Amino acid sequence: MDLSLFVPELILLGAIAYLLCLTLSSRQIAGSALNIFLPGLGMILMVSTFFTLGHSGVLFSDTYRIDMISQGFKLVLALSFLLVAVLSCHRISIPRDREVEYGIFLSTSLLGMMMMTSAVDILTLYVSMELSSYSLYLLSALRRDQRAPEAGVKYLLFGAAASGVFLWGMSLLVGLSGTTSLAGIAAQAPALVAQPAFSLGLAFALFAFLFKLSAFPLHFWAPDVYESAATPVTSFIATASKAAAVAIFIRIFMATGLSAGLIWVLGILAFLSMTLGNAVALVQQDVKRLLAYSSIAQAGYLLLGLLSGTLEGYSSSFFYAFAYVLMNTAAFLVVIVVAESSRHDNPQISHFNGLAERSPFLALLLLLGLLSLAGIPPLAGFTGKWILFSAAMDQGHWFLVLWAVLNSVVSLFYYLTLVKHVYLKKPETAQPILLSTGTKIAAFLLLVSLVLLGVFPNAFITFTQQAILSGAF
Amino acid sequence: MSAAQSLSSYLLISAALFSIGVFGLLSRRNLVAILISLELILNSASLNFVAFNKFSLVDKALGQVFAIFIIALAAAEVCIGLSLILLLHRKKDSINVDEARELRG
Repeated sequence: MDLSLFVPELILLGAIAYLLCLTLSSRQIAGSALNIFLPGLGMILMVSTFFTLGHSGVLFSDTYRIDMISQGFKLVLALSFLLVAVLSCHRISIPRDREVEYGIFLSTSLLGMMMMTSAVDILTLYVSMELSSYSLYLLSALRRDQRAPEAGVKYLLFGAAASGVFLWGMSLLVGLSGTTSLAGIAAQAPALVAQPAFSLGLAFALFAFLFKLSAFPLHFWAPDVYESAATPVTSFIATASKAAAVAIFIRIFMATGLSAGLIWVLGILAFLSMTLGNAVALVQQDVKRLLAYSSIAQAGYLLLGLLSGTLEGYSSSFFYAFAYVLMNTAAFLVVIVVAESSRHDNPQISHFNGLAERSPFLALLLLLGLLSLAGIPPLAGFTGKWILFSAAMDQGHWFLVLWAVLNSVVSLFYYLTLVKHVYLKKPETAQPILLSTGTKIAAFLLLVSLVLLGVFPNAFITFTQQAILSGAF
Repeated sequence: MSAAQSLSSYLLISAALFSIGVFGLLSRRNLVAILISLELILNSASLNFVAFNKFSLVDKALGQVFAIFIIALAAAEVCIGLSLILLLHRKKDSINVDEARELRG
């Protein structure tokens, strides 16, 4: 057992312990210390994960596996955490005396997600999934607003129901195969996959992951939680949590394989997610709700790659998850800054009027982020969708791909409505928006990486394919 | 082996518990009752694990360890759930889900 592979998680654990001690100091000092500590932590995590990238090994009696899938996804998660940490200096609706708790729960949730990507035992998977979920339930209720507890309760009820159904399904899988390790299940899966109980168990187990991905039929929490959580928290839920969900989808499907019935079910869910997300997003006025429905639609696209069940399908889902983190963070960065400048943590579309005059740079970032979400070349979202759809096409899911392309066109309508307000409407105040240095750097990096990943995707595509190959059981 | 000791009777009881839990989840309006329904679902899962442990698992510790983990995490979940419900109760003076619909989802 080589503990040096576990260093990123150990650093994070140490940081959580430090934050716990910080709750004892005066709130004034703690709040300002957090603004430096969280981005620093994100940076250190990225560097330490990067150094473990080429290594592989199993830890803790074969329940925890370090390979390129896990480390690649951990890098994406750390990046997402870093961006959210930088944006956290714009938190306006977190109660002042609860800022340290915000840091703690953000970090524990990240720890849970990081462990999720490495979990190769159902017990590890369950515990790490609950660690990340519990932290997010609390984070979503942590806001000075009448409606925050309501969203927290809804999030918790949906999450707890999903994890209960997941456990029941997993108990069938474990009972049939006689082991909790995914490698053991993978060894017996070809013989078991014909049994109805195995497919039933797997279908039930998928509930928890569909909940994390906010795909139909477990999407109901998403609009409410996105709307009433503080905007940096929403951004974290919308990016990191999705990436972690894709990671466990890939792990589980690689272990169990996909039966024809399950592919049908996932296809129907993908179809409904895309349709529902895009149709309801068309009429939203609250930008965070709009992004919530757009994320439901994006979950449908991701399912398309996952249900292909091939190397290309999994690697393109990995690619798209990374692109999704970049473009969604870009959109949320602008939402956070606009929310701060208008002193209102639920910006409506009208708050974006004339943003191009107040800050051309932010307007450009929002434009590129939204066009990338809609899948316009040459941005990262286009490349991601292209390889995702071609992987699904290779497996003969042409109807779903056709429907997904049509849906992308529909989604362009509501993304461009927002862009219209940014570029064509007159601003209500001419006051320019000033950005802090950290936000400026983050925005610039997002802008560059969205374009670069779209134009030169080959290196990263190769990386994702190697990662999926290395993760085989 | 008599019928009372076969695996399928345990699984049937667990399936019944699970169904009652899901029914309660969908039909009850009181948030505490919904939490209780969630507990039923979790307990049906741990019953499954313990039953499989007795009859089919190779490693005889596995199912019991899993059941203990489920109990511990269920306790944590109820703690968080009750604290959030308490917070909601302070704001709204009610723990009925029908009252909690300011958000339109």
